Amino acid sequence: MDDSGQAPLPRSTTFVVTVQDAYLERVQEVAHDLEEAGLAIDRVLGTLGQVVGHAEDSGRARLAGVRGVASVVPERRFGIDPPGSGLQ
Amino acid sequence: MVDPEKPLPPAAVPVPGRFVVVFDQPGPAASARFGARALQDEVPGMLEAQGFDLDGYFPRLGVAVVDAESGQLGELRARCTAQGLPMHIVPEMRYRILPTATDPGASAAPAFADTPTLTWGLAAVLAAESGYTGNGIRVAVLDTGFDAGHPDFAGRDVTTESFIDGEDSHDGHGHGTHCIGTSCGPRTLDGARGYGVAPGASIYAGKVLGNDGSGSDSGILAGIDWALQHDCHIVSMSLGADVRQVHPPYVAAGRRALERGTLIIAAAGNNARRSAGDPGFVGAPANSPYIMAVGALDAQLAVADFSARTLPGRGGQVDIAGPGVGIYSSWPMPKRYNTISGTSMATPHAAGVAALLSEATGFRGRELWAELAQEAQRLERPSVDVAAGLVQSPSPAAPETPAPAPQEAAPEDDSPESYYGHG
Repeated sequence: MDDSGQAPLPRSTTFVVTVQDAYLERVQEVAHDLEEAGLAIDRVLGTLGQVVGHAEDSGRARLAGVRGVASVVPERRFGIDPPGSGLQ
Repeated sequence: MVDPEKPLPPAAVPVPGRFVVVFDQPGPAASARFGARALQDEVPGMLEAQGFDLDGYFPRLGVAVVDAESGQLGELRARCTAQGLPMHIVPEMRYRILPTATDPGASAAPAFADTPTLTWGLAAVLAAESGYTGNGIRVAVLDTGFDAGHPDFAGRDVTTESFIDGEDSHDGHGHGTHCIGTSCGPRTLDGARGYGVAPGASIYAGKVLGNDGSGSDSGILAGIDWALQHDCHIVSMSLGADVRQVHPPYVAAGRRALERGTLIIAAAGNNARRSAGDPGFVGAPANSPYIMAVGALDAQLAVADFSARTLPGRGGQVDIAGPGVGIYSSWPMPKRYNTISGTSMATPHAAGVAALLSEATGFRGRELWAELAQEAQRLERPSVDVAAGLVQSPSPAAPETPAPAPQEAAPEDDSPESYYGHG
């Protein structure tokens, strides 16, 4: 239980932002604007045209409104079975 | 219906006095001299000069179907040879609908098995017969990393990178080393079993799954970005999540990779339990339209019990299949080898074959995708499970040979050879 009396921190989500084709040459510029819009940047994938970062759950719409952004989706996790498993 | 007592007519018979003139090279090395412009502008004049009717000339195909006598054909051939225009001539054939016939032996599937020197998977994809090794082709395997000290890979061209925070590129799981073994490991080993499809390829081992076997978009996309920066021709991803929804980042990633000449190949997924009536579905990222999804076959070339079925909707299809049951390959030392199953094992078979085809043809990206599908061995299995069928390695490059002479007597001309052009 949180007994500190403070409001809980807003939940942070990792987002994958895909940049529009027309902005592929200006990914750094879009990343800068995303940062201004509240994205804490983890990785800028300049060749692929994607930016990975985290922001508050509620910040998604604001990120999607940034010029040059094609899509903003929450990061997904992937996995394989443990090494002892015969099925991989 | 077919009367089994009645002998079947031949599927095609030559039409007397009719010939097909093909203005092209019989070999794969296309001549720049003989482009579409020549077919449009030069060939009609040559045909007319020899007294041929242009009604049967198809300039976009570079094919003329003509009534001809042997002398006329000989003169046309001589004229083309003088102009340096490659061509050949074959009798026109009359075709008829193929009768439906049942071959009692056709449904008996071959059963593959590991031998002391070769895995069944390599035998099934015809890797050993191929003269190609993937030389000059860069294959990125995005997985749990790689045991770069594995003795079977001594002297190989290997580049590693980790996209997992706090972990280096060493494979602390085994999955990545196994997949790299299947796609790019040795095909022959002194006194041991060869297990790698493309032993001449350059290996790019990107660690995007941690030693616990899990990873996220952030690392996987960073791995794809890294592979693109290195101009890898093929990216093999034996990973996925059992979700039906297409995940948008991989749509853009797959498309942008193809545009740069990089083919991404991913595992269809292991979420089927066919023996229990559940065919499963292709998960992300393999369900992205621009990522090739690979299903798994067993050694009888039947669909593996766990191999996921095509998901309705664009991109959700299985695109091709590869060996994925009881697959022997490399494993981090000291264990050295392991035999496991999954669409994760089928995927590097496809990636390795892609490397061989890429080397053999020079094809990249979408063309390489098409070549994989075109060359695959069709299987008598549902298309939703195996699609184009079993991936097949290219045949060894044959020396350039002239087209075989027809069985019909060649028309008389002054050439000592047949009436085929040799451009």
